[in-house]
Amino acid sequence: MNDQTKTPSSSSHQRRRKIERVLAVIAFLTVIVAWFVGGTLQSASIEPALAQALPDADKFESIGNESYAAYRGEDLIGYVSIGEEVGYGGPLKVAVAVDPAGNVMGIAIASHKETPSFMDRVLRSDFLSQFSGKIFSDPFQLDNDIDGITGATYTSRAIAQSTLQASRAVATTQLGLTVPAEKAPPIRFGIPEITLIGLYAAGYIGQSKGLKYKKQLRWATLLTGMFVLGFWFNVPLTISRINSFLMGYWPQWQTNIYWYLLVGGIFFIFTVDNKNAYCAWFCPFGAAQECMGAIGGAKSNGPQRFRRQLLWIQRGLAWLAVVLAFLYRNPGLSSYEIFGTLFDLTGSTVAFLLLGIILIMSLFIRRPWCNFLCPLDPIFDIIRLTRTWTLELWKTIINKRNARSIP
Amino acid sequence: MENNNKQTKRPLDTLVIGLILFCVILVLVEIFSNLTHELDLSILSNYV
Repeated sequence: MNDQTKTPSSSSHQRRRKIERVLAVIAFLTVIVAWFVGGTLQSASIEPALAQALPDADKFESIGNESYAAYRGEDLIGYVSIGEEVGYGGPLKVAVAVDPAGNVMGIAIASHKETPSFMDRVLRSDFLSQFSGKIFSDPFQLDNDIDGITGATYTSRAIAQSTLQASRAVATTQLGLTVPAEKAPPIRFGIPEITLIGLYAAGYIGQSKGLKYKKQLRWATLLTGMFVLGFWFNVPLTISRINSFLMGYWPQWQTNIYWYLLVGGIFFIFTVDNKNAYCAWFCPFGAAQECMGAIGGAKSNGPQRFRRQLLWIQRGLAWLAVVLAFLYRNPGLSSYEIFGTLFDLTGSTVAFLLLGIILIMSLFIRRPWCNFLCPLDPIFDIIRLTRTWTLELWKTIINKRNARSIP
Repeated sequence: MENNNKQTKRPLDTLVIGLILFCVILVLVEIFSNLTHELDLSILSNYV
């Protein structure tokens, strides 16, 4: 549009777009600054975990590679080594005490970034005690020689894997024992992964124009998403997962194909096609709100007054959640989503109150959580904006090059 | 008729906006209670 045909609304649209881009750049820069500042805050001591793993010891001497010799008086009674694996929320460290014969004497969580409710579930059970007495040559695999905790599978698996690493590190470096060749963990590909691929495909096809039975297909994907990804497996997309992805806390692919499909799929589809199959087609919490809306006959999208201001509040909350997560290098730290509160009935009193209000509001207006509070929506806006901006820049470069090549 | 609709819609809108702002406050409480929990943990692990 040239200057002569510019209307006041188009110029205000241009101005708004410019402001959005400037704020997006500022938001991006603050996240980077938070990441670097966060690096200087990492100083949590692991000493308490050493004593917890081997309470009989009264002295620990560092022997390198995050391993310690444990003494009672002058007698060497064992070793404690730190194993590390990526859990649900980020790196998880376990202190593992091993006796001179290579048997695990005890373990303790040295540090973690898991959602508190997941870790509480593990600590309240006798999960950690089942490692005592195992030997370094055991497989340490869930559903094999270790019983996982339902609802905290990622955390249980990361603890088992960390314990395996630490016990084998002591066996090879301190005890001179031969460790069996580490087998790659079995690839986990089951109902959640198959369902997710099917939902992506249905959502992608469903967005094409002129599709017959579009409404029915959408309800089918929504209900499948809600029951399978929500109530059954409780694996919706959360800001924690996006944070983990951006922070580079990528879990083992063999046991976390779902994670890669979910996060990778979102970024891939956005980048290639600028489509968001997830939110409208199979987000489990979006589906729950739509079910409530169907019961209450919700037709309105919510108040149009102060719409812009409310949008910026939503974006501000998402920015705060991401900046705090990067600052403390903890992807799940500032997660305020109430998905687990509905699908797993876990969460704080505040989370339950929030869930109650949202579900009641869903009876009268469409998807209040998605429209006014969900932190994922602003993240998707940023992806969209980056994509459009990159394409514009690319076109400008191509046009300039073409103009130069014309004599 | 249209005026009547507008008049009944306005208080409803205000109620919904009020509820949304209340939810925003709850979200902030949730974020900062998580943050306080994290700070407590790191302070404890440094001094135990």
